[in-house]
Amino acid sequence: MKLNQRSFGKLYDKLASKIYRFVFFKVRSAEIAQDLTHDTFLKGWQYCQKNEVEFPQAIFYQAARQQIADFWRKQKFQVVSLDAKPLEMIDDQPSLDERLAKNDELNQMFAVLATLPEDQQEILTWRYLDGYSYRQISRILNKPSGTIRVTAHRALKQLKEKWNQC
Amino acid sequence: MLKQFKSFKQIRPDHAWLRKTKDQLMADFFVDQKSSGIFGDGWAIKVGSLATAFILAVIGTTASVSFAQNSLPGDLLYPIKIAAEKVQFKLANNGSTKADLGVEFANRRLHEFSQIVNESSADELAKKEKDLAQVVGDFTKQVAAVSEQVNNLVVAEPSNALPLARQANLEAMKYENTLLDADKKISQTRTEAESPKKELKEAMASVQQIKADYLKVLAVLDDAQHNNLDKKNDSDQVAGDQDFPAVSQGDTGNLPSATTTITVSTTTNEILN
Repeated sequence: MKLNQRSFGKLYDKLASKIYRFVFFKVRSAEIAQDLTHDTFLKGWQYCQKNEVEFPQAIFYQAARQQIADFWRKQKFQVVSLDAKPLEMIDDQPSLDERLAKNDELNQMFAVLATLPEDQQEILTWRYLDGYSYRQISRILNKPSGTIRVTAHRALKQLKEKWNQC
Repeated sequence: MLKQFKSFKQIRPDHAWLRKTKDQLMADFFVDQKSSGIFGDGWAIKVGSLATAFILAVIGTTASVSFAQNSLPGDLLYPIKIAAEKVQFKLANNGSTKADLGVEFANRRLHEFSQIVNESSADELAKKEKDLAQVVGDFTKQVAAVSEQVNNLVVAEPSNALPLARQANLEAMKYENTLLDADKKISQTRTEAESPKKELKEAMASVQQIKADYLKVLAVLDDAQHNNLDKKNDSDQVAGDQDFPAVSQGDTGNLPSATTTITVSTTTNEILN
């Protein structure tokens, strides 16, 4: 399937918030998450124009992972303290960062989640936040669906244990 | 727990931004495809590297937590830093690790205190009373937690408690020096505000308290070590068992007074008074 204007519009409506959240988890800045989400759609679209894609979501998540990896690679060479840079408010509402910073429980969950291996964090996000099936996640990660199922169960168990310890 | 995890769903982008980005992308893709230069020849090669993203995307949430590490009280990311520390402390396996973490976190709080004091003018310092109070409050909690862990180890693992108590005592001396430096800086700013001086006094008092505690602990552990050696010499046994005799809670309650050996510098006394 190749994306046309209509199908891209639908896909964007369905996926943009999820991609944004996926990126935000990894960069923890609304401003950067917006930039990387934009670039993710650009790259994903470009790929889908040249290739037949069965499950476009997988391509967009893979593009998001690449954007995040590129971002962090650049950070290694150019240390920028986000703390020193005031975050711009998007509108009159408190920024997402601000809302999160004030929510102790969310922060604690975020900190617990960060103790899990990267693949487990991603699988939990896709499964329990984005509502993807094991089969769909297996297509994003190019791994057997059984492996995803086992990893998800293991991740959830670890998350529960660590959460209960806190 | 899953309910708390699902509360991450409230992380959503700004609606206006979502719409604006969609319009922008649609315009780029469908209005001016040829002239946009989006479909560069190099893209096919770049797409191949998507697969490598699986390997490269190893830095993520964990790294983003570290984004908050340089934050100071009052910064948006500071609560994230504190939450991460709490989790790290609670997940620590044993008392020894907890004590090490406590020492590290106490150092961070003092570093934050110094940073605020060093980087603020007299006017700014007056406005940061709440932040300074938070830092000092957390510092006091951390040193108390370390002290508690050391005391627990005296009973449970006396052989591990001795090096830890020595280290903690050395750290307490460093805390004192850092606070003295901060005091000098506060004096230089000639701030009229009571705030930083009050917090400094509280921090110094807690340092003096833990120093006294550590000296008592060290005295007990040293005595225990000597007794152990004496017993061994008396019975002419070949040294084999290097463990210290267990010290009961009751013993720690009747510790020899070490207060006479505490030397409080004149400057420290000035702060405390």
